[in-house]
Amino acid sequence: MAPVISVRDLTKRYHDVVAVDHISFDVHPGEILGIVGPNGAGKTSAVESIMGLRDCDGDVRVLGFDPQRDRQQLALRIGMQMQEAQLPPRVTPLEILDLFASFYPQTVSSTSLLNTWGLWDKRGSYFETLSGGQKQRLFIALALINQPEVVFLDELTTGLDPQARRQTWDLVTQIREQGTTVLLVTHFMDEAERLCDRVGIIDGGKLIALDTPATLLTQVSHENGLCFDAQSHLDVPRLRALSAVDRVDDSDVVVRVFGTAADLVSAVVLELEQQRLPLRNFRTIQPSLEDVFLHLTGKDLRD
Amino acid sequence: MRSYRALVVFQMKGLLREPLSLFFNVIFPSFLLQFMVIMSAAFAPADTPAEFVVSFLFAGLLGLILGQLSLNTLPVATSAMREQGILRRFKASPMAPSTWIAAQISAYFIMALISAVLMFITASVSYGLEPPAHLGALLLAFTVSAGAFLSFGYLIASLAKNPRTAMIAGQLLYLVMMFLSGVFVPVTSLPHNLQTFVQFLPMTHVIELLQAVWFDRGWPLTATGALLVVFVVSGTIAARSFRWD
Repeated sequence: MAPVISVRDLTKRYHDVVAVDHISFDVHPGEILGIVGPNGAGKTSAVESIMGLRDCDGDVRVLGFDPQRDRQQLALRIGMQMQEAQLPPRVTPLEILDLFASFYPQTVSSTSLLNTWGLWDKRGSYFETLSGGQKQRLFIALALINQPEVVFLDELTTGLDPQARRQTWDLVTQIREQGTTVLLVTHFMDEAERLCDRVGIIDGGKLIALDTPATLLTQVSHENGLCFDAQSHLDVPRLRALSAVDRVDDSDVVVRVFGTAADLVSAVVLELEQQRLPLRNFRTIQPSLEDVFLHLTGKDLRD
Repeated sequence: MRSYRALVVFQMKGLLREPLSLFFNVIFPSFLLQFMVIMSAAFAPADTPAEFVVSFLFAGLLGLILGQLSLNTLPVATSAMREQGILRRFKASPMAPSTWIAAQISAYFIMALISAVLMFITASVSYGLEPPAHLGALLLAFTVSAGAFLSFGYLIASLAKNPRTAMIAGQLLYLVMMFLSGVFVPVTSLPHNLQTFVQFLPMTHVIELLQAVWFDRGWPLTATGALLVVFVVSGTIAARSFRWD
């Protein structure tokens, strides 16, 4: 199937600064593609250029349209939730949804969107009185008003509390289940890992990796890891001496044990039992996309 | 057409729900009229007919209503919506910029009409002001004036860097025009060199047009021509330099 979005050598300059540097990728029908990277990496510049909201160099096609030239035609078939967008303070969710509905020939009913996104009780409240999460959900509802074929979500869950973030993730999964292609921009690696079929990592305006989360994770390490709460009676040298164990990090309140052997977990559990130590907070360590980012760029995402 | 109508309603609600805008654009002109009538009674020559004073001020204040909306409200409101990222959200929709501009200008025109009707009711109840003899002509004069003034306001909105500069530019022009363009004092009583200067202010032509039609002095072609030039020139530049963000 032809890609829904095709990007070739997308470059965005602001005067002398190159914010996006020759990025190329495709987004396939029905997938959730995540663009991740630290703040200021060029994610929003890239995505807003792809949506036709900023001019850029390179060849971009979305649903066959050139977003620069055919912005309005393209806008009929895509949905956007933008970072740092605002609405007038004294307009209600119902009014703004009905207003945007008037811009499209075919729309989802405002009522059903308000219900889906948990805004029914707030339908008549002024925008200025909504909480951060409610505003965010209203912007997502606005992005879906025209039953878009592709939806762009930029920093979808920024400013939401953990519970609201999980609910939002479920709803994004629902959007995809209806066949909508999603391009998701986020600086939360857990969000990308959880939601995306494929993840592109942007750093310094360049696309430095693009693959499924599982494949990206295998790049980091073939090592298994586990950890448990440190206890004063623990005999660390004996633990180190186990053949399944490659290294032990006991510098923290949590002891971390790493090894490549398949029997790492059982060997460590057996050893702790022989030392007659209870297993407090025993768990395996999974490498995350943050580790992938660290591995690829040599810097911590949160720096 | 559906989006145009929905946008007009949206803009109207924005104007009416903002207390400052509601006060200055809808209620204040009626107060100002009464205050100016009282002040004129204290200073005008004794033989000036009271009816003339009320009519003169009413015609002038019609111009001031347009000035307030076009110079003080529209530029600040528009550039604030741009700065806050509200216009960006609209840019991401298939709505054409021309629809947005047309709807905004229409909503402001409707606001001006509401304010004018309210001011007429005030003048009629307080001072027995009669409806103008040529209501159709007055409506046309008011529409021409609104077209010129609102385009001029849009020009400020399009050129202003931020709400602050929009406010300073709008307010400055508004004050100069309020004092010099014949709203309260006839242009003919200004010093001679000022009389030449005020010909470059759009408000001067608005007041001349409105007063000429109100007092049935015939349709002033020079003022109409000047306003059409303002409309075309500022409208063209404003539309070309319009930015969503």
